[in-house]
Amino acid sequence: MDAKQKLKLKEGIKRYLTVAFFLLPYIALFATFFIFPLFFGVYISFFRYNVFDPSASKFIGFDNYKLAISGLTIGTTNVTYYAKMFWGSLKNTLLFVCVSVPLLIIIPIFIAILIDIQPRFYKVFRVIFFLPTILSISAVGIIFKWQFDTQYGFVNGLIRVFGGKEVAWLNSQPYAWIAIVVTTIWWTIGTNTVIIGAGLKEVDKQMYEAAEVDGASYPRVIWSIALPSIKNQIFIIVFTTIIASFNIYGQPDILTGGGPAPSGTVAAGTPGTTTVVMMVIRGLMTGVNRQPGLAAAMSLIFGSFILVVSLGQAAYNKYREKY
Amino acid sequence: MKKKTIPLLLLALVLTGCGQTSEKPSQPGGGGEGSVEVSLPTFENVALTYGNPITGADGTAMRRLVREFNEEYQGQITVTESFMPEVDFYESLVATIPMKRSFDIALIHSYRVPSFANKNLLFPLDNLTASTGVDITRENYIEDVYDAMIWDNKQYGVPLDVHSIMLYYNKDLLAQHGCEVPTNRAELIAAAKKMPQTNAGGWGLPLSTTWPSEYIFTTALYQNGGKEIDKNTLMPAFNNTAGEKALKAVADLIHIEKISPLNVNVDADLLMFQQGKAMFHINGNWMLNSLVDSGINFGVTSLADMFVDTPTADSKKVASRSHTFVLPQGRNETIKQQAALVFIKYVTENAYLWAESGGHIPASNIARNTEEYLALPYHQTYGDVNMYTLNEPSPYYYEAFAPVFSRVTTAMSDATYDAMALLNAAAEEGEQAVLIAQLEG
Repeated sequence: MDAKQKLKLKEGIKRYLTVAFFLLPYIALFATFFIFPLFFGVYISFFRYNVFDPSASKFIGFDNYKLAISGLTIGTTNVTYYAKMFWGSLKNTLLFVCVSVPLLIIIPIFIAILIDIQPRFYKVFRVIFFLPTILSISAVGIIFKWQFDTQYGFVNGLIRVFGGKEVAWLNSQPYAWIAIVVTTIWWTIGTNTVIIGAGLKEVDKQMYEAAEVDGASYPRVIWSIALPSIKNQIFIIVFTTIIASFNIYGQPDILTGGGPAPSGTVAAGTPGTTTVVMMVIRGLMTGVNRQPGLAAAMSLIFGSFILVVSLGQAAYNKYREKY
Repeated sequence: MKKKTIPLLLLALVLTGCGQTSEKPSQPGGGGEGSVEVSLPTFENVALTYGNPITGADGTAMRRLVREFNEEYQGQITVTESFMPEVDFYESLVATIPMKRSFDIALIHSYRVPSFANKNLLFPLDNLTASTGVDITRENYIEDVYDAMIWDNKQYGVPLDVHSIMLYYNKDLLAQHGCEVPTNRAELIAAAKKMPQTNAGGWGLPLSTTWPSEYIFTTALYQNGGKEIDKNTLMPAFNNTAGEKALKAVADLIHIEKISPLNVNVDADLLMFQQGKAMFHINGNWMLNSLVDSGINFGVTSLADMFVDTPTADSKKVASRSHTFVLPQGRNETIKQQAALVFIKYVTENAYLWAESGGHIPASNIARNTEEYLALPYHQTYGDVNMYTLNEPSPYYYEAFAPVFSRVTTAMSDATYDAMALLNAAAEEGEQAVLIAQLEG
């Protein structure tokens, strides 16, 4: 090996080491907080896992999955409670995703378009719409708990002013869900509004003017020029909002505590407004009698649902880029 | 302060009289054969960590008790207190005890003691109290409360207090309507019905459907002769006639007697009372000082006989819990455990401060007999301390009983509720949760 080759090799090693040096912190954190927990979760989902003495954990095959999906017979009892709660919670989560995601996309687009017109004080409005995003869910929960209070709440106060009958927003179905969705919209639209707003800012305003000269109405300008111009931003917020909505936890946890059961429903395993993440954390991962194996199994089943949705979105993105 | 100082001096004499220091750690697992006899040493700069979930108004008293203890035992024992929200506190115990890195002393809720003990997370106290010379004995505490800390024939906790729900009443509204302080359900309902039962005019007894409804239902259950769990099977035992009567006794106040508005959220009932819009209010004794601060002219009495039509042997019972001192398993150094007992004894016997600040009832007979406690204006109207009843010890208490809470909310919200169907559904869930929790792993 001549001197030139040696130098090249040395430089190559130096370059790779530099890259490795910069990547290492990320890889270490990613491995610690994502890769390891993921595989550990898969591992313990096959065990009746003992958090206090892991060596006493017992391998139980697919029992946790059976318990989560269809029920498991223990002694003479068919334990179906967890399966009922899981499917009920999944139904609740999907319902929330289906209702909240369109609203969390459409409302920010609408607000961003209005701000993009740059009316007077538009910067103030931009701050006002973004401000709730910086609040913690605990603060938001307390604020809206009182806004939706039956006797003292602002919402019922307004209803009473117009001669209406007070509504038990947090104590009855489907109103509890409406309260949860409204709270979520108020709390989270800021980020999406900023992303859409940034996209609209990049659109060449001369295109709007040209369209208007050609006789296009303002809604037509928005529909045919503005929205297609920000399709990448829309795709991003659809993607992130769906994932975030699947993980809903804080809003029902604070506003309704997972209740109330739909009117007239008394059966065991009625999840009210409990979502999957709530079921896993509140139902299975608190107290000393926690069930980490079952919680891991439920999380993995739930994760696979999100994975399917995400893969669908990724496939659509690929298709979109191609055509 | 005199009453406090004398026992402390005596204790100090006992402590300094015993000069022998044990170096051999006591055995985890506690009482019975093979236990190591230890005597109380002279403490020299023993540092203890103490964790609790006391973050509210009563935290001020706890901080003061720790500070005064440290002053009293300067150079001997130093206690460093950590306090955090309840959820975080219990999570920290679960995470740190198995690693032997938890606090030397912890204050936990009584109903959790058996579940922690069952997982071998707590150090049994029997031998320790018997052999150290620190006089923590059953006779000096409310005995039933002391006994509620026994699991598997071992003592795991020393109760600091009893806390429960109380019946608060607005003295002005009672006088305005010519009513006396009620002593039973009929009197309570009769007085409450004198209110207009409107948001503007006020209500008799607004009841939140979510909190503290679980305490209210449990009290009603006890008063109607029922129990949350069967002490032998540890399974739910509330889906029976007693449970049905109890649920109706609570929900009827809203749907039949109509002395509460429908769908009251947590704390809205408190707000109504603080604003003078409610004649009665049910809440924990821990809200006592908040009500004093609100400036309302109120009194407080017990809920004895409030959920039965005819008094019985059980009808004076009121569901209660206790903040309890425990020693988490860890390095189990005898010297630290002995010092911990000295601290526990000090705090429980000086709990009049705790009572004053948090509205609680000291579990220690000594604390309840201090001049300071006897001078507290509201505590003397709480009634006989023996009526405050703790649950049957079970490691699976929460799993067995918690499913009923949402059913109580349903019954209080929906006038068409089917009591037995709700209780049976809750019991079914409870049984399945206990079965799963009991599985070894």
